[in-house]
Amino acid sequence: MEKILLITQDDNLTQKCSDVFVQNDYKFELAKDKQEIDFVVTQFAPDVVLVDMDFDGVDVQVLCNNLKLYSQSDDIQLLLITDGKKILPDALSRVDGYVVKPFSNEVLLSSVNAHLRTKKRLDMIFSKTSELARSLYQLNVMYDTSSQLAGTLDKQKLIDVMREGFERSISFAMCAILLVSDDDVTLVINSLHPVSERLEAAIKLRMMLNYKNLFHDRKCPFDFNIDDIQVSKASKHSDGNFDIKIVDFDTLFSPISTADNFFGMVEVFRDEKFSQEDATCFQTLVKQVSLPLESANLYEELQNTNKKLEKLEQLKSEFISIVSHELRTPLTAIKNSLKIILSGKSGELPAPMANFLNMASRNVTRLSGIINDLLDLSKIEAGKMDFRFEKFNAKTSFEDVYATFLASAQEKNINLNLDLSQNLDDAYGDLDRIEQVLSNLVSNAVKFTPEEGEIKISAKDATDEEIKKCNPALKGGYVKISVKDTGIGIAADDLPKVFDKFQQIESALVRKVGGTGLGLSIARQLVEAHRGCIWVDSEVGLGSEFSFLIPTATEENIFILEIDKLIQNAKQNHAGLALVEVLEEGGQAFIDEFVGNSNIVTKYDKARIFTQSSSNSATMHIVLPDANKMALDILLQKIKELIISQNFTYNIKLGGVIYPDDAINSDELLQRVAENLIELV
Amino acid sequence: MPKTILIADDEADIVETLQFMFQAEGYNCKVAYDGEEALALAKEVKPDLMILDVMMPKINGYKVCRLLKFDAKYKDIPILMVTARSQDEDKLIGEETGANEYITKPFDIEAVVNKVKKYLGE
Repeated sequence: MEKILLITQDDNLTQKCSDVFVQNDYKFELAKDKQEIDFVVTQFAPDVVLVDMDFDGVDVQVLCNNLKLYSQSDDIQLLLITDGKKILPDALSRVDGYVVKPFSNEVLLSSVNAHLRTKKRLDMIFSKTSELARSLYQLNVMYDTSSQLAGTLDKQKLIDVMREGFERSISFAMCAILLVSDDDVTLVINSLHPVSERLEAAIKLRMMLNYKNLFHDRKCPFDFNIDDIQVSKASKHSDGNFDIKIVDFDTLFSPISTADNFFGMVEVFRDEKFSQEDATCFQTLVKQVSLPLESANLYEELQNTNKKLEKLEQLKSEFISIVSHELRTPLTAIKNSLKIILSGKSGELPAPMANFLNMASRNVTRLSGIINDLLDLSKIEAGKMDFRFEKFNAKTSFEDVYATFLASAQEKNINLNLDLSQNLDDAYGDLDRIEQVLSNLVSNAVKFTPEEGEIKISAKDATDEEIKKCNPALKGGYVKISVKDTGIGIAADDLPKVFDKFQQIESALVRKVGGTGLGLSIARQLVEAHRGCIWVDSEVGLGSEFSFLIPTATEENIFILEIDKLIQNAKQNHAGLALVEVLEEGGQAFIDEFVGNSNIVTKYDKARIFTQSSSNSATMHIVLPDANKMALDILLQKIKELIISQNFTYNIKLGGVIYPDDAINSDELLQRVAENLIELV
Repeated sequence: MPKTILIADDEADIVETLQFMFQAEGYNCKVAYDGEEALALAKEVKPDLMILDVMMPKINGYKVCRLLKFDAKYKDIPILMVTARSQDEDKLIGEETGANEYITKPFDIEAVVNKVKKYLGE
């Protein structure tokens, strides 16, 4: 019902208006003096106010001003009742219209109605505008929240961001979030004032019921009891208390879930009613958090799986290592007891017995071979094989291997030849391991070559074609080592599998000669750790030729192999490593001086320097183990100062990178440092 | 006067087979079953050669070896270290022990006898 207020001291006017409005179902009120006006305006909250201009003792202009102020908005409609003689322009500017006395009832009514309609429209515009402002604000909060949510995979942080979003967009009095997972159930309560214990218990119960209701006819994804719920509480103000009656507040509730995953539920409480917009905003925020939560879950799973895999890998190599070790000692005792008996030193031995004991002895030797292979393989695979790289000459080294197998070859009447090129380049690698590879190949050749056959061990510098054929990683040259036999050969189908683990070409002969099926796989891994390669050419019935390339001891090769090793060490120790490159274009005076008299690097006792020079340029690499970005920057600064102080007339470039920040393998690390060189002179 | 060899290993079976072979070759043998015993016995009898296992209770073989090799009175005793290349041993490797030779388990007893003969100048 519309409310009309009349301000007048004129009884006739009062009577007339009262009759008209009451008859037409308006609520009518009268204010006769100044004191009454204030009270009635605030209490009665009229829609239209009629002000009689003949009002003693009051400045109508001021009165109108005040009325507009009291109403706290422009939507109160002021109508001036005037006799038509003294309408002040100033007063008119404050009011919404006027009625001139004398007027008929119809004029009065139609005038009031017209203003009532205006007021309704104004009210509507006002409320729409504020709704719009509110929506805009909520939209802003949602946008802000969604960009924050996109930035993290931390579950706790995601939930916090969602809660902050609620706080800003729908201003709750209390927010309760129940998070459930396989491991635990947590209830997070955020409130304006501290929550009493009774209320906390009530919320727990309410959450539990909501949870059961959500899945009323299905199985709940997580089973838990109300006692399992861990509660964490935080309140904005330390004063006051929220008690059980807060449950009477208006609430919004939503599960936090995606199609496949259920994370929990959230409920917000407020004494004021939530609007439709609030509900939409709430639902949107909850939906927004669900997806990143799912990603966070997956990410967490992935990380756990990774950790488990790492652990498993470690356990595997530890297991193999321990088992191998534990097997070695009893094996030694068995082997040597057999040896003693067979030597005849412990008493004479009948021939059949000796035969069987020989069989036992042979198999014990085979068993120890298997154990050694397993241990080697587990070490290589775990990246724990400790290579001792050095310069060596294949010619002198391989004569030992040849001598070792001479006896067993002669037993089978096999002609074992050694063909070593006279001017063989020095090779670079772990001699023990290279000999291991060669021994493995020769021992295979002896096994698979029938009596009266021939085996040739040869070593020469690899030709460009041979290097191109298997495309190894180094540019500094290779030595090619081959073992060629006139044995049974390998079928074409089997050739690609020869270097795989536990591969042995099935045949009666192979079973007879024994072996672990690991030897060639180990050989390949050992050769590859030298950045070499290994391959086989073979024809069934004619024989096989196994060949492998090992790097020559050129500056370039040594540098790459050493970097590989330093990075492997860093990887194993979970440490950092700095790599600095200095490129001198047009001379090598700086590098020569630096290497000869480097008081910078002596401070870093573990630092390694590598230099390479060509006709008119030189490169120096400094590797600093256990270094981080700061250590690198300090070193770069010192070198830079040294270079600048010497007034060179040609280009010197400097750059540095960090393992593992910039790259995790030596090739990429070297590429990165070369790309980022900065010209200094 | 037969030469004396000190065998130190916590595996009794290994000790026994080595002892048998060395005695068959005419050597005199002393045996110890842990590092502490090995060290005390080495100082007491001053053997002509020692066979020393790495992984032994109380004091490990590397340490026994180092203690003897850094002592002027005993540094000339040839020491053959026996290792099983286990992970625990790997952690010790790289320490300077001064051992004359390393023998990897499972070793060939005749090869060991030949090495011993070499060191004892026969």
